[in-house]
Amino acid sequence: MDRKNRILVVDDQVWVRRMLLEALQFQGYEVFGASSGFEALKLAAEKKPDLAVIDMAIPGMDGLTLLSMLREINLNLQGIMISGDGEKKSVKKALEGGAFAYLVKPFDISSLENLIKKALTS
Amino acid sequence: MSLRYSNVFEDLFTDKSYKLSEDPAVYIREGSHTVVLENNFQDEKTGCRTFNVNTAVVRNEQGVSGVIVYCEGEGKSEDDKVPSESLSVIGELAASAVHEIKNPLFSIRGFLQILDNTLSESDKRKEYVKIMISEVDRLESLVKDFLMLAKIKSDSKELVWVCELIKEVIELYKNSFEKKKIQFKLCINDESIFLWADRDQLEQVFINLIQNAFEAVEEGGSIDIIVSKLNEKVTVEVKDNGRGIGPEVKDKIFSPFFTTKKNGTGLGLFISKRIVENHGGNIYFNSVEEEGTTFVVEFPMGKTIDDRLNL
Repeated sequence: MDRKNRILVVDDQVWVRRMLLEALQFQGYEVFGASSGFEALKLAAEKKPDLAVIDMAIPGMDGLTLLSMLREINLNLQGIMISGDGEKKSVKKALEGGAFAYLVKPFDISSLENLIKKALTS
Repeated sequence: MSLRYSNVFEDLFTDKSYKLSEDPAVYIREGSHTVVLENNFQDEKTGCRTFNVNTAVVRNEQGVSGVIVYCEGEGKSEDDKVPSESLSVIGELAASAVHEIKNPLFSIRGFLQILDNTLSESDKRKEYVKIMISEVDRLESLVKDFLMLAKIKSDSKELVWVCELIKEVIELYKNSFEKKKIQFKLCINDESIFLWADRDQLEQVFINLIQNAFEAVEEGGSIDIIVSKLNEKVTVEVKDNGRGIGPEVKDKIFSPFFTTKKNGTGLGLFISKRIVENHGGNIYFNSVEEEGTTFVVEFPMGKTIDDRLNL
């Protein structure tokens, strides 16, 4: 049987991270959480996630730098960026930086779930 | 073509971004520039006047058709800038505070959604959870509006093509208009209308006015947007044939926290008025009950140097 799709959630806000992990686990994904870029890279090397949900402002490095470093581990990894910053410039920068989508916090969890489904089948 | 600018504009014309003329070779750089005049305009304290000069290349299908050099009002002295700087600090502080509030709101909302998914339709607690989610959404709208208010005084103005911006906002409403079968018309008498403005704030004003019109009309109603330039004024009218504004609320609609909507924050028009006035403009409305409402925003055209140069 195929393995479950693996999702890495990177957010330094403990309850945001926990909430996202539980919501995605509820949807049947195998999930891992990291609170910093460094922790995320370590986990990614070990767990080989298919998709990462990354907060744009995480300690140590910005979300887009982390996405490009995660892609060095797995070229096909999809990235969905999340942020409290809804400025158009930031959205544009993230999409140009290779993110599959950008969601502005607080968003509806079902929007994230739908985007993940799309990203994993594209 | 004549270029009569003094050498203080040298910085604008020496960058090799765009060649303005062949002989003599003059170049122009697109963007926002600060020009300090040391001699021409004496400020009592600093001896300098500072101007914000914006330059933009106008392109049409055949290529480049002209250049706009736009100067923000009269020159400001360095001292004039102090209050706006301290206000932008407040804006920054508010932005961080909003960010800090958004995270807990987001985790509350997310956990409530997870809870909602686990409860059966007949469970009374499901209704409580839905109420909590909608209250969190209301808090989120309030926080967003407060952020917009805090940013109004910040100084990030640029050259904004008004028609282009309005078309972008309309694009956001395309599906909603279709769903409600709204007959929509956009009339523009001059595509090249531009303003020296904060683009995000201007967009917020247009979104607020179009959203209000959208909510005021019945299914199959009509919304017209008219953009015009007349007597050194840029005017944008948003006209609907909705239920109109009752006489009892006419005086209150620009007041903070006044709303007739179920989920409104009561800050939309208050914010719009602040933004328009901060850009030196006016906002007003005409409304007849059961016939419709027209909101009008007017902005003064700024001063331009050789409004558009013909190459």
